[in-house]
Amino acid sequence: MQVLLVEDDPSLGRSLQKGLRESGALCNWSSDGLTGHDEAMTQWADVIVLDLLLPDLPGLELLKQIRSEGLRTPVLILSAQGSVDERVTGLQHGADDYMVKPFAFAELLARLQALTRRKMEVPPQRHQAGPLSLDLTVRRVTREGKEIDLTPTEFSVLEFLMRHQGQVVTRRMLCEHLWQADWEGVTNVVEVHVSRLRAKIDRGFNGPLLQTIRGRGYRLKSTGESSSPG
Amino acid sequence: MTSVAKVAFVFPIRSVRLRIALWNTIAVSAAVIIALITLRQTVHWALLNEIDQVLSEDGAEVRLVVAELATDGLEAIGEELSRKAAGHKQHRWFVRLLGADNEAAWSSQSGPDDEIPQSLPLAATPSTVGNCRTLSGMLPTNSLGLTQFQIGASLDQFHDDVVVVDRLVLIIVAVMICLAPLFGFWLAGLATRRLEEMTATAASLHPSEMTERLPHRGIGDEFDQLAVTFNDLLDRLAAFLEERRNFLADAAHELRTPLAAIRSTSEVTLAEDRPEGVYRGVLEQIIEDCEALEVLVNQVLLLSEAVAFEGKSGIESVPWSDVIRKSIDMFAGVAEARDIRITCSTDSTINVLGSRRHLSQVSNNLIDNAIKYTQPGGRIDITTLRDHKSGAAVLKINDDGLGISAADLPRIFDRFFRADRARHRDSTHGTGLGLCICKSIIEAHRGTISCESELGIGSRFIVTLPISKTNQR
Repeated sequence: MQVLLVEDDPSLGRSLQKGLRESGALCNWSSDGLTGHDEAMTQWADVIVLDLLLPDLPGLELLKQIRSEGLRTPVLILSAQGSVDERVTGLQHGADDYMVKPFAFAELLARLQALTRRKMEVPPQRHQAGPLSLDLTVRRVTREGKEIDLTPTEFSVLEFLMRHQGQVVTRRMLCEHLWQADWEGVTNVVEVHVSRLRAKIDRGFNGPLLQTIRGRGYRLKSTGESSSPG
Repeated sequence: MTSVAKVAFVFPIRSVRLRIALWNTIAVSAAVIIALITLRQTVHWALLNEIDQVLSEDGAEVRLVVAELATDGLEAIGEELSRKAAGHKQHRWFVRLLGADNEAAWSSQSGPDDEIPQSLPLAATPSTVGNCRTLSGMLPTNSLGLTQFQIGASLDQFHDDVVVVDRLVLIIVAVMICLAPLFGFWLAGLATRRLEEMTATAASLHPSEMTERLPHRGIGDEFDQLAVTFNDLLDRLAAFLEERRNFLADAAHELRTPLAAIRSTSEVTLAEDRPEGVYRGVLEQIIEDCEALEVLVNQVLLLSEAVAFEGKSGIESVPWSDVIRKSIDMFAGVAEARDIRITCSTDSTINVLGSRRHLSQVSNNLIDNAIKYTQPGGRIDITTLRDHKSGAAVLKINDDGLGISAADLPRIFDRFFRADRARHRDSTHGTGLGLCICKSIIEAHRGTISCESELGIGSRFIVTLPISKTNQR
């Protein structure tokens, strides 16, 4: 994945570039609007991450220009301005997604992957993560051939984790997936469902699959990872 | 500090003062002209009436003279009448007596005979002929064969009087037309001077020093009312600004604690070399602290959004019960894990007008709150209903939890207020903004929110919202 990052804050820009590179993406970083515009028009990118408050050329202006010049690359706006009106304006100017600072890096990564995923790709009806398999058509979950009985919420959580297997999934992402709502409160409404899910898919089996990453979220081990016994 | 009022120059033609003066001139002039014309006409009529009065008395006298002296012959009558005519010489009074053939049998010498036609209409009322006022009438039957008399007097004196009156009227009108604008301008100046004072004071006001107020004399006139209204507005603005300032200070204060935690954790960790696992732990701790900061910042933003919510986009007819059921769904897992039973009875026909996102924040916060303060084994009852009396949508959330002490109850909607009971519980204490956000959002939706509670028995939160008339779904 080739990412063009247009962000004027040096600290945030550096850490994003580092994070993206470490997660296997190629990342070009421009720290002002005009350079960003030139980069966008001359260098290939799969996705553009765009800040709105930029020196030289405001982000919205840049977006308008590249869209009028015919560039169709998906754009994710990353801004500290997050009111409904501002989001709507951003999306209306041709952005494909909008994230408000501060944000979880895992979520940014997941959203970038979602944006670059080929449009026509049909979501698979079966997911496999190591010994765990989930069939959407019959809503059946098995581990090592043993059928596991899940509530609809737990099933939904597992489906989301399997779709993002190997990646960190934040509480917020799960909350939006489950209830289409952003719950900003302190109460962890997701934790209880994840705990139960873990109890069902990991207890009595060899090697835990569902990990809690402190301070960040949850992660389901992907097929490739060896589930170390213990 | 004296600040010079910067008042925009008002082009004279548009100034209130000039307009008042102009209208005043028009009104005063019209009134004066109408009054004077009426007066002139009245004087005219009164003068003429007086002449007529005299003429009819004279007519009666002529008749008496003819009746009395007919036997003494025409000369005796003539002598008598001539004497009378001589007495009224300055009026050029005259009398003429006509015979049966309508020929003048006798006439006084002073009369302008040639001007007076021989035959005058017989009329009870006098009429004007030429420059004379004349009256004619029948004479009583007499031996001399006289049938009619004609008397008259010159109108010269009358015309002179009328000219004097007219001249006077014209002079007064001219003076008034000259004086009215000047006087009007002066009066309007008196009236608008206080306006100018107010403008100057208002122009010198500065948002950072909202202490100055418009002066008022306490006599309760329109200017006082304006000043009082304006001062009320200033009071509200000052209170609002004060509130904003406090809010900013409170928010900054609340941000300080997690920032201090992050900083000291990092500094302490860096002070010595530590095994790698410790660094990892610290970084995870920092992410958690940042999350708390994010929640706080987002809630502060939400609060400021809710206050300025009215008239914004995103207003729709929201199915209230859907919103609540979704919140219940979201918290069902947490409630179950704590062994709290949530029962719910909702009226799915109720729609309220507002922002779905904000309204779901309210129900989320209230349900979260109820769960937080309910002990395991407790229950929460959620009801929505239509209050037919007030036409409002009512949401009631009852819990049988810890309850709120009477001392804390009035303050639970204050921002950053956390009742002590919150600290008894583990890490679930929040930002102290939840209920404050609820109140702001509900009030921006023109609704009300209240709480009844008793320590140890439970709490009941009641939210009312105006029902939306349009059913979009």
